[in-house]
Amino acid sequence: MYPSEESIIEQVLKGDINARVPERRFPPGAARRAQAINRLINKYGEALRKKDEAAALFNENPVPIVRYDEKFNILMVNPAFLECSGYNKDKATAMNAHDFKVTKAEGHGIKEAVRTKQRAFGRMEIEMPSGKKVLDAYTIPLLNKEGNIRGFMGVYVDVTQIVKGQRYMEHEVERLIATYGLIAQGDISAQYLLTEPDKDTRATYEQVARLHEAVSGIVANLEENVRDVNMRMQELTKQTEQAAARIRDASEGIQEIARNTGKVSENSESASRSVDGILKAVSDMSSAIQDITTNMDNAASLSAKANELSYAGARLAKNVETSMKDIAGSSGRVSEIVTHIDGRMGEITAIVDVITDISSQTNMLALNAAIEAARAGDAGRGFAVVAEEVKSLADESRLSADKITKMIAGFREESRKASQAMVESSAMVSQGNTMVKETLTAFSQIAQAVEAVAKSVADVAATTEEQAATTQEITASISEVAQMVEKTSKEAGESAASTQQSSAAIDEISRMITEVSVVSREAMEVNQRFKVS
Amino acid sequence: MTKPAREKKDDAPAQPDPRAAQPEAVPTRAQPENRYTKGSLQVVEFLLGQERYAVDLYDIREVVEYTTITKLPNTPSYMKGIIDLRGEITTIVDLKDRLHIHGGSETNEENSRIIVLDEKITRAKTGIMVDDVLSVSTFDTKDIDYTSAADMEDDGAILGIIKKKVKDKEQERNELIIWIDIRHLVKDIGEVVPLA
Repeated sequence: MYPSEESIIEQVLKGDINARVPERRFPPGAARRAQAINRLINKYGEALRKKDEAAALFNENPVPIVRYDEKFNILMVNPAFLECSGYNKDKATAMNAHDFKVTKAEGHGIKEAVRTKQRAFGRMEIEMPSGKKVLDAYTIPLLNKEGNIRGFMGVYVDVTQIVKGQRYMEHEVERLIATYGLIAQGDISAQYLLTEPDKDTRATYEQVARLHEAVSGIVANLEENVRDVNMRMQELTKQTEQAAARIRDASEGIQEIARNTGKVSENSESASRSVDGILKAVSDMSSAIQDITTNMDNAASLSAKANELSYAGARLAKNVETSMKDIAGSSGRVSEIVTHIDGRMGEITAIVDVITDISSQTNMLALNAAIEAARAGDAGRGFAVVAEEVKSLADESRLSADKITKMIAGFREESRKASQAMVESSAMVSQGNTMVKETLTAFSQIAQAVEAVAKSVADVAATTEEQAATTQEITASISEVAQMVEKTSKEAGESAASTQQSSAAIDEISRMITEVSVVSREAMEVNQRFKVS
Repeated sequence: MTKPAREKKDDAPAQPDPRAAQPEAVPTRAQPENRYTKGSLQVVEFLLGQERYAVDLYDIREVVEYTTITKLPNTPSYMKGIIDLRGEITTIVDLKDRLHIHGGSETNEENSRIIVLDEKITRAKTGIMVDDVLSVSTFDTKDIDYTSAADMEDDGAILGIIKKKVKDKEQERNELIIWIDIRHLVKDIGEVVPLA
């Protein structure tokens, strides 16, 4: 070996990899050796370059990477790992893989890597100075030429944000589904305040919050509509009850109307129940709305019927009123006649009194004549007979007069009774008149009430339409929720894709590292041929 | 009312002689018995309460209607009072009261009759108040029962009981008429008066 060769190798080992042994200066045997040295120098330079590349790949890599020895003592960490974990370099390089506080692990870890001597993948949660981190961990065993493990490479992808965001999303969506479920079952007042996000979950929170606000707005709308419907239904019920009450007031002759209005009331109540059903389930809402529509139709037709009947009743009551007036007129005339007859009876009585008086006096005259005749003796005998006759006539006429007086008294009693009956009937007629007037009033009130019912029914129908629109809105927002969930799953897929990408990069890195190690091994083998004294 | 009544009473003693002469003409109680034994009796029938009474036709002047009676003070209760009969003061005797008949049909006093007695049998013009005057009748003396009259005390004034045949619902029966001595009953009237 020439000194120049030695110095050149020294030069190269010091770092000047461009230094070469000048081949031509050597004799042919020595020249071949110089060529071999230069080839070795070339190989060494290539190895050094690859080593630098590998170092750069290690240090500049955004993915945290840790180099372990065969006993998992940390040999090297890259800055990305320090940033991710929060350890300083000295602390990190003093640690062993078993020193990490793993709170949760799934998939394969270092044991698997040791066993299979192949890359192992798992996901774990580790407590670190920077906080709890979720890491996708790749443990890559490094093998020597004999295939024995001489160390490991740990590559860690920080999926904390993705996982937390996903969990947050799952949790909040689940709670929202529960809340919306309650709303769907009718508890419109059910509310849910979104969990306060941290820095990892803020983006997800904002998305969910937008959705939640939209749905809350719809629910508030729905609540208002439901309340409106309730209010109108209450009003309707009230009106119907009033109508029913007025109908009860009406006389027995209008029972049919009362029955029909009762039906209106029943139908209105069942409509009210149907509307209550709206509160119970948004899913039942469509059918409930149909029920309401049907019931409203019934109520409307019944109202119309009630209206017709009340008009018919009013006409009948008018007829009755006319008849009452006729009766009043007739009974007034009868009363007049009876009074007239009574007056005539009085006159007759007066005349009979005169007759009685006359017959009494005649009787007395006849007596006196008889006395005179008797006193006259035989001469008066004929006259006595006459006097007797006159007396018996007077007695007879007196008896007749008495009979007449008794009959007249009977007549007067009868006519007094008739007169009293007339008074009673006229009182009854006037009472009947009052009742007919009341009936007419009741009918007009019924007509008014029925109109109010019809109006309420129309209001309810209008509100029901609004409600149907709201139901559609809810359906729309539920499909929006579905879209959101789809979007979330898509995003999760994307994150999986990016993980795969990372994995591919790591594969590349590991491939490169293997290559580097192969090259360096080669370089070392080459180097070992040289025995440097 | 009392004043004019008194004046009239005071007038009574001043009545003319014809009246004073009458007492002799007044028949005794025995007289009618004699008179009516002839065969027939003429009477005026009248009512006092429920009962029928009869007085002698010749003791009666006339029958008049009831008019307002002026009461006189200090007189027996049967002295009803006085009336003005066509200008003459006539003393009225309540015969029911006089005969102590109580109760019976209470006919209205205004419906009662006054039988004016013949002036021959009384000193003062006198009328008796009865419930009703029925008829003038003639009876056969054989229809008169005197036995009951005999049992009577003196003041009874019953002359006899007349049995009057009447047809009542196709059945003949006797109606009893109390025949009284009106002269005896009114004999006091006016007796008080002529004290002067």
